[in-house]
Amino acid sequence: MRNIVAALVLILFISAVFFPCFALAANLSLVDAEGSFIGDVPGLNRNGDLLLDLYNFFQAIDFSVRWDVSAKRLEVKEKETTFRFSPKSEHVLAGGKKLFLSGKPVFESGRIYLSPRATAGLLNQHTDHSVVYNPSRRQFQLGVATAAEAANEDPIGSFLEEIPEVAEDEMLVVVDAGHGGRDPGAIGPGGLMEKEVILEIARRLKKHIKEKYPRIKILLTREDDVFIPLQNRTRIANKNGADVFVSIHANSGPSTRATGFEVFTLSAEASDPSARERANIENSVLRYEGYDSEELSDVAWILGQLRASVHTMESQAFAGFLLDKLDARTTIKNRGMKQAPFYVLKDARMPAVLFEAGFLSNPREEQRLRSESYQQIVVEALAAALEKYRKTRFQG
Amino acid sequence: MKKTIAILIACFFLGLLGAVIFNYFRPEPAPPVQEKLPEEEVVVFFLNSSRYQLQEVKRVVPETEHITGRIEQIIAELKEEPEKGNLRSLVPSDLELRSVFLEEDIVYLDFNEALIGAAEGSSGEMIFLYSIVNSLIANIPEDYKLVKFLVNGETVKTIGPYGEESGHISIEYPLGPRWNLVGSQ
Repeated sequence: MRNIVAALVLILFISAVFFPCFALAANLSLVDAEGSFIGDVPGLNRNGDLLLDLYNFFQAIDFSVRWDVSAKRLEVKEKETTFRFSPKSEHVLAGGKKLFLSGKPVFESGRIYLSPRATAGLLNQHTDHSVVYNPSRRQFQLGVATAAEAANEDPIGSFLEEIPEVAEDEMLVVVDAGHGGRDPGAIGPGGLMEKEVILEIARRLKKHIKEKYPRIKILLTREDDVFIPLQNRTRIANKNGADVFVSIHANSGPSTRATGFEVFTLSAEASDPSARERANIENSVLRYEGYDSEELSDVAWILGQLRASVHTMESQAFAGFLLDKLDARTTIKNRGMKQAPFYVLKDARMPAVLFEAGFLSNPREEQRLRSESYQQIVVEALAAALEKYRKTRFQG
Repeated sequence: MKKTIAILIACFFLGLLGAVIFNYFRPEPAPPVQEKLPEEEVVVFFLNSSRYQLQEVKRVVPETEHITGRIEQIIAELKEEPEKGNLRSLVPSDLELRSVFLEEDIVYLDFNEALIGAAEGSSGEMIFLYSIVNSLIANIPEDYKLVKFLVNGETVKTIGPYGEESGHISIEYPLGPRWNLVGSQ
């Protein structure tokens, strides 16, 4: 009997000791830009959603943190900015302005909790901090690429040494790996980041083209996990006189069932209202070339329009090649060619497309994008389409 | 003299009696009929999640003479989840329309910060933005052809969640409708 009582006491003791450890399992980890572990921050598991303890989180990232007892609010401060979180408010006050939070804070046991995504959004939009939250790893990556960005202030300059020489029948393609640095792009349900998988595809493409297609010269807008503003991406292509600009992305949408690859070109419907949109875009290209808005003569405008329509046709031709080459290599749904006013394409002074390799928001497609075999299929299709384009345009 | 006074008093009381009787038998005024406000049918576009395209849904809203009022109604309707199972609202409930104004043929929609990050990915952004643009253009006079999105009164490049350089579709310029994103029912 005594033994049974002793065993029960022991079980109770072990439960008491280990129970808080199970509660702590809701921790999130903080890592620096290089991925080195900084520390853990306690979280709260609320109906399966992980929430972040704001007090501890902001303390861990060196904000000065104060719990205002009388006003019942949490004040976090960095440099000149003070954010004030209240338990029941969906807004955070910053410098007299109400900022919207993309998730409702939860007040429990005297602490304020917020979803990691909303916290990351607040930091990225309203401070100099750049953080990326990876839900599958329950990990915050801090200061992503800030050092790399500083070194990359002149992204064009950083490429000058490696611009390949391009002969008459050769073609220069600028391949843009979408997103990067503090902008992870879409994040799949399994945690795969668009910026990572796309960079991998771009790097493989460069290697593949160098090995197999000597008449195609290739330049990547980024070779590392760095953030490059959208306009700088086409600027790299414009400055280097690229013949084609290909921006590679992985798609995301509101339905996890959406599937397939597709190629977008810049929209240019001449007969509907977006003609004016197009004209504005062309004007911005001309301004880029050194024309003042007042100096925009009719001739320059017409030339711009002509060039744009030629580029539109060429972009669509290349988009068609890419869809065909990929369609011939995979059973994945071909969503076809579409037009839309893409920011990254609008300043390109050459045929330009945006290629979506698949839907990261679809768990099955995330698996495919992660797999080396699908990445290789995409790389081979891109290279074959570029070679076909080169042959038709540069060899008559 | 006394006779005259008596006749006058009698007349007064007779008149009073007449007034009372008249009032008693006067038909009751009919109670005011609660007039039903006139309503109008509008069309709004939601995501058909099985086909991944926009699908038209008819809704009934109170009649309004003001275009801006109609626009506010449409945005409110877009937030209401459709009854049909495979249709989904794309407009988040916390997206607030701060103001609407019209200039030439452009509808300016000034939203709060919730526009940033309201959708992600090329396809996600496209279907979200054009669910709004198509729904507005379909319900206002043909004079208005374009929709310009603003965030807190300012132009932003894209609606990317990690800053305006992180999105895909440019909203620097007004957008026209895209009927090719709409599927058959």
